[in-house]
Amino acid sequence: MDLIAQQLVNGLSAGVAYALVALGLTLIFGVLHVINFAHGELYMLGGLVTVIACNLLGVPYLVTLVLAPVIMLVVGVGLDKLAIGPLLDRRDGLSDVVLSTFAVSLLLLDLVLAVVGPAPERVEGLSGVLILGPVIISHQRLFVIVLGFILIAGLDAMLRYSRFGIEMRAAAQDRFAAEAVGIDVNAIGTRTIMLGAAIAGIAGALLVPVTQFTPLMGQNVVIKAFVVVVIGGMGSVPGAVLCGVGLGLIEALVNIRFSEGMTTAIIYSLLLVGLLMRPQGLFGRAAR
Amino acid sequence: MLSVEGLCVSYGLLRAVQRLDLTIAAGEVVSLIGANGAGKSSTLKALMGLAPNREGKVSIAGRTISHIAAAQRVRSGLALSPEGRHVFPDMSVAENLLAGAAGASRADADCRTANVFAMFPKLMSRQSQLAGTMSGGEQQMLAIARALMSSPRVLLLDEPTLGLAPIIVDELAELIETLRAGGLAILLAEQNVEFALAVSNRAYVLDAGVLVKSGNSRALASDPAILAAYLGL
Repeated sequence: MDLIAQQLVNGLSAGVAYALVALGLTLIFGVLHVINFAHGELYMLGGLVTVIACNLLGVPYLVTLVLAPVIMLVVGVGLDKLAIGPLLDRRDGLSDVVLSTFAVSLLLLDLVLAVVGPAPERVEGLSGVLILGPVIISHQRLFVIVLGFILIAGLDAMLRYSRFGIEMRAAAQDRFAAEAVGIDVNAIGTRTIMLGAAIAGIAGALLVPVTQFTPLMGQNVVIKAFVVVVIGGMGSVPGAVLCGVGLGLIEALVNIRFSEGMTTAIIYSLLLVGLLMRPQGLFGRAAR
Repeated sequence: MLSVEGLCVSYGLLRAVQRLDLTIAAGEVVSLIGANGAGKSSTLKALMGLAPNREGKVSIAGRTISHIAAAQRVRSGLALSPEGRHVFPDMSVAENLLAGAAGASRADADCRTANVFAMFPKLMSRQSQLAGTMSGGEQQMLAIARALMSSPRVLLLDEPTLGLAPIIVDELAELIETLRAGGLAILLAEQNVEFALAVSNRAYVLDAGVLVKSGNSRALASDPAILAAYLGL
């Protein structure tokens, strides 16, 4: 029982990371109908910014939580202007973007591997632990869970109540109508990619003290984020959050009895069952 | 208010609209009539900058807008209520209206919402309802109200009576008259020829993308040769 409680806490922090990465993916898909294969590398770059800022430049860890998303906003603009925006107007634009973002993913991964090397890097986050009976929670893990949910709630409020959120949802629901009422859908697309990149960046910065930095950390997370987005429903924000957190919890619980390989097999089995039984995802709309 | 010279629209090899000239003055309703595929919707989409391959000069209040994107055309005073309504189905009535005020300040948008609610009291009582759950007639009113949220000088209405009950069509005719009396210029693309000729001052008849006749709506309505040859009446 104690082990289950401990694993639930661990799974919750991993689930928040999956949810944040999946949120960016699903927002970009919802507005642009584009699958961003470079999204894992945006998460990894958030972690890399934290490593460089904390370990090389001596910047306090909490400051990097602002620095990483700000830098990733700029990376998001670059990604849009170089690998997404110019290709979308082509006849086979959507499939071209799959290839271009995949190319960006490999480029960034190999570049970071070449410069930093494959060895894991530690980053000191918040120190100390909280002991709740049999459950031990590091302050950093608690911080990931609390800040992660605050970010998710803030994002939800932004989507519901801000002008940008309303225009973004309008562009996602009906691009033609959004253009017809005067919404600059190209600008909304760029801002959505920037937002997705910033969320991935802050998720990377949050998780690096828990998981350590490796250039492959993005690949590991993004594959699970894809599972989350497909099961939750492509373009569905509640689907990304609930399935992301759910996947983290399921993974942690299954890990109690089974090896990591078996856990991965179970997750992909869930993906296959989901695709067969409900291809639009748990929270997605069926195609008309 | 709106002037169009030599408008051409094509989809690949298909020429949907060929060298169309038209004008609309403030406080005037002009209808664009013709059979299905005559080029009416393509004309409206081209005026909004939403048709892919288009040529010709479009001016609003003397300012040429042919070269600018749809978002800027809306800021210049052009608004479209599209065929099939195209409301945002998973957004509330209030959110649909706010989306229609893109580029306006929040205070301006709130003021416009109040004006629109005064004109469409039914929408005010349904402001929290999801647009996708409304009836066809209510969605049509919402689509027009959303277009009015940009404070347009020229309103383009694409097939507004499509699928509506006769009583709602009558309400729509009253609404068009109210908007016209308020000084709005309205271009109405409509397959329902009797409705279009009844609510408009002038009409243009399109056949396979070519302008074949234009003139006073009453005169066209009483011209049996035109009605039979191009409008199937």
